[in-house]
Amino acid sequence: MAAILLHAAEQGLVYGIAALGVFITYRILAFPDLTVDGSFVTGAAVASSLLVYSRFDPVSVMAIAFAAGALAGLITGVLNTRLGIKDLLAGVLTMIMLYSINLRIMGRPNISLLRVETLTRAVGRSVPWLGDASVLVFLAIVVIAVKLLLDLFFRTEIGLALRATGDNEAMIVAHGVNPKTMKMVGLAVSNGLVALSGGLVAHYSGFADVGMGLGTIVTGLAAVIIGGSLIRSRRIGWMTASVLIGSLIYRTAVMLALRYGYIVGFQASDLKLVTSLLVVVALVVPAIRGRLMRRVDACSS
Amino acid sequence: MNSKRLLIVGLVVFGLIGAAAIAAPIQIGICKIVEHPALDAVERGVIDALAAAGFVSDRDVVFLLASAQGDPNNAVPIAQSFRSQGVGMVVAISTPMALAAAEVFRDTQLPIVFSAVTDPVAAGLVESAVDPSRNGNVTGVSDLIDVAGDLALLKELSPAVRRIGIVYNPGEANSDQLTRLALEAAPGLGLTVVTAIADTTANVPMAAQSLIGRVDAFYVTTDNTVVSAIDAVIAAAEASGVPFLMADPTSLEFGPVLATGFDYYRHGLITGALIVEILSGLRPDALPVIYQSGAEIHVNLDAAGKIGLTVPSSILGRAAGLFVGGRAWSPAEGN
Amino acid sequence: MLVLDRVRRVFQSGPDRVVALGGIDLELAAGDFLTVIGSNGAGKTTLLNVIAGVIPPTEGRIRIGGIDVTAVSAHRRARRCARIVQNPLTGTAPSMTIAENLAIASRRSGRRLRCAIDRHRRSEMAEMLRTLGMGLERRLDDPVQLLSGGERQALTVVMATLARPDLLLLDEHTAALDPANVARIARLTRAFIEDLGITTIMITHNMEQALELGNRLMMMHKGEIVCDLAGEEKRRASVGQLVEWFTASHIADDELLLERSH
Repeated sequence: MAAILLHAAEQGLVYGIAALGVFITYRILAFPDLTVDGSFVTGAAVASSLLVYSRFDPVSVMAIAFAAGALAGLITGVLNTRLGIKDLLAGVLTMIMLYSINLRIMGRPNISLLRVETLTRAVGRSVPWLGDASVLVFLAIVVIAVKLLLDLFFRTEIGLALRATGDNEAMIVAHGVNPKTMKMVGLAVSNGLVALSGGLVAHYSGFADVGMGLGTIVTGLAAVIIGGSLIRSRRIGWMTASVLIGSLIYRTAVMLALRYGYIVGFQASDLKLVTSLLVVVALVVPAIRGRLMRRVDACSS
Repeated sequence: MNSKRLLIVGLVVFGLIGAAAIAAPIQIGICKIVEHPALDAVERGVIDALAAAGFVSDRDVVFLLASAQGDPNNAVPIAQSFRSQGVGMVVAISTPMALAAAEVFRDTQLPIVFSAVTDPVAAGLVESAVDPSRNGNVTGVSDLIDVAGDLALLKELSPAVRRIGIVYNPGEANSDQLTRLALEAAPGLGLTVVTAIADTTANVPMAAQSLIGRVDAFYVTTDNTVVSAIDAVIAAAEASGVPFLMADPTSLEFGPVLATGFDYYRHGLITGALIVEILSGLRPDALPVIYQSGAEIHVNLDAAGKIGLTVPSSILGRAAGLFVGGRAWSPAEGN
Repeated sequence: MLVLDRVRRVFQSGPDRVVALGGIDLELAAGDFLTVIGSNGAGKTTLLNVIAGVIPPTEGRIRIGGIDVTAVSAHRRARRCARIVQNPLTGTAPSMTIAENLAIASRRSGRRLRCAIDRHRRSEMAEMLRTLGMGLERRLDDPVQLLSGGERQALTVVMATLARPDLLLLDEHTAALDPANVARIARLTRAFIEDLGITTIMITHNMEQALELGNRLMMMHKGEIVCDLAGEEKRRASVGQLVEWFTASHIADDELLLERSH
């Protein structure tokens, strides 16, 4: 059981970075961005092929993966802000383009990292005294660092302007901010994070596969919505924390379902159903809570 | 009296311990990347092979079955789940599943047996196709098709064949690798290969139609995407009046003139045999990768007739099965 | 400060054609305070929208501070030109705090990766809000959506003037508020305009207010300026005279007449 929870925590963290990316576009910018299904693989593709086919070290490949993802986000941004293509469609178009681009980067549909020194393996090697927990501790440090940097960013002048763009675009225009520029920035940072997550997942899993991005938007949204229904604060620090907590909860639920689901006759094929049900529960709980509160108020008055 | 009783007591105790040791069934985790007729057949073959070898289910072996539902992100959690359940062996069907299992069990000595992996060396699963000592705890069975042989067969079928059209999905590792092999082998046979890409089942008809008039024969390998929409390729081949060779003998009655390859249930049986060797005490690093051989040729004379093609007797003589007059005939059965 | 040169704005074409603005010529010197009245559909809001760059003119040119801004986008014009509209919810970002909204408003251009709110800024904000006398300085970290309409509009006024715009456009910005807040916001606006000497255009339905505030008054009807009073002329005019003028010009409007009685 402990091993299962350990793995669930590892996955909750590593996919949590992608969830933070989805959070930026979906919650902050109110821009449903499907690019992520493609940029997740772009990050994995870059972080694997560079490691296998060239001399880059595991840390640099992650930085390059982030940059590649940011570029993908900018493509969607250009399609939307310069060419006037609607948000959902722009994201889909970029995602489709990325499928071919990712295949080209990898050169083949999947790349094995069994025989190279991935980031997770390098960490395990450098701190052997942590044993099995080394990867978890490393991921925790990385993810918390990313979260704190993001919080800091959202407290800067540009960060505030970005938040206001999704909150009340007319207001931000009236204060001299170009909403198109803000969208580009948001899409770039978001997809950069998603690609970083893809790279880390590839190193963690020991392989990259061109089909591993399918459903990134759904699992990202699941994390955002589950976390958002638990923590209602609108302070940016709490919001990013809620996304990570949502990711941990979601991955734990998935792992437990995989491991113990057979007791209730559950099969791996029901995983997608579980995801949707989790999101439904997460959406319904606050509604029920609200109704109960109103009843309490009515009784007490 | 004492020594006799001691002996009896000793034997009983030994027998009980031995029985206890044998009585704990070994858990074998069988996982596949997606539900699919070929992969399902492999799974059945493995289970049946073990039963036939005398391993009784729930007494000697317990099978834990899992499928990643087509999502590579599920592969690692499945392998991790197996690990926490204390499996004694992992049977991974298809390349992504095998990669995930190899990674999760990397730091152990647990045997990983892969199946239905076209090129385990290129995929990075094993280092050597011939020397197992370099492959650690990983071994398995490859369904690598003799692509050059298939191309030569097409040429033998109809000497007019110069250009071969291949419809495939570059997103499938097996398919990608086999197409590459075809492109390499073609020049040596005096042939050229023209490819058409179908990255989803919906795009298969268009891809097949794009080859009409540009090729003298159609060729499809073990590509899950294309096989799901094989009717479109059959139709395109018939429309062009050219022969079609498909690397899956179970599809013969649907229309290809020729079908080669092996049946995946047999592939599963071979995998099962390999597993039995490991259960009997052989270590994976002493067992080289098995490349399934003995591809059979099946001929569909009805389809040949439709395009006005006469099948040379040299091929008919080697055929393991025929389809004519609307039904299948097998020389072995003496029809 | 502001020059409108033969500005026209036409919506639609063919039989549905609406001439919202028909050849407006207007000049405002720095420090001028222009009040604008007129019936509904007179083109007052369209005029402000064209000046702010939200809608492009069909013909004509606009110059702010001597620079031709006709082709300049709304967000770039907002660097020198601030607007407050009737809807008290439009001017603030609801899910962000008072402090964050003020921080955004403290700049009209040149935003960077600087920390937006430090301790020094916060105490400045608190000071500023204290002068409003609404207790907002104690609620710096409250999300703006918790504020009442009047409080949000007061905040919008503070935000509009914070970064010293050259031009302030007010579109009936007290019309949606309750009487207590109307007086307060009106007082607040006037104080800011006078203290900072901002060139202002204010649309109002209240004829008394139109006469009382500012040094110029303009009446619009069907996209045209029908009267333009300045200085002495304006001071001497009375509401009664304005009403006579209206009816004499065949533009009797119940709403305007009703407003007069307030």
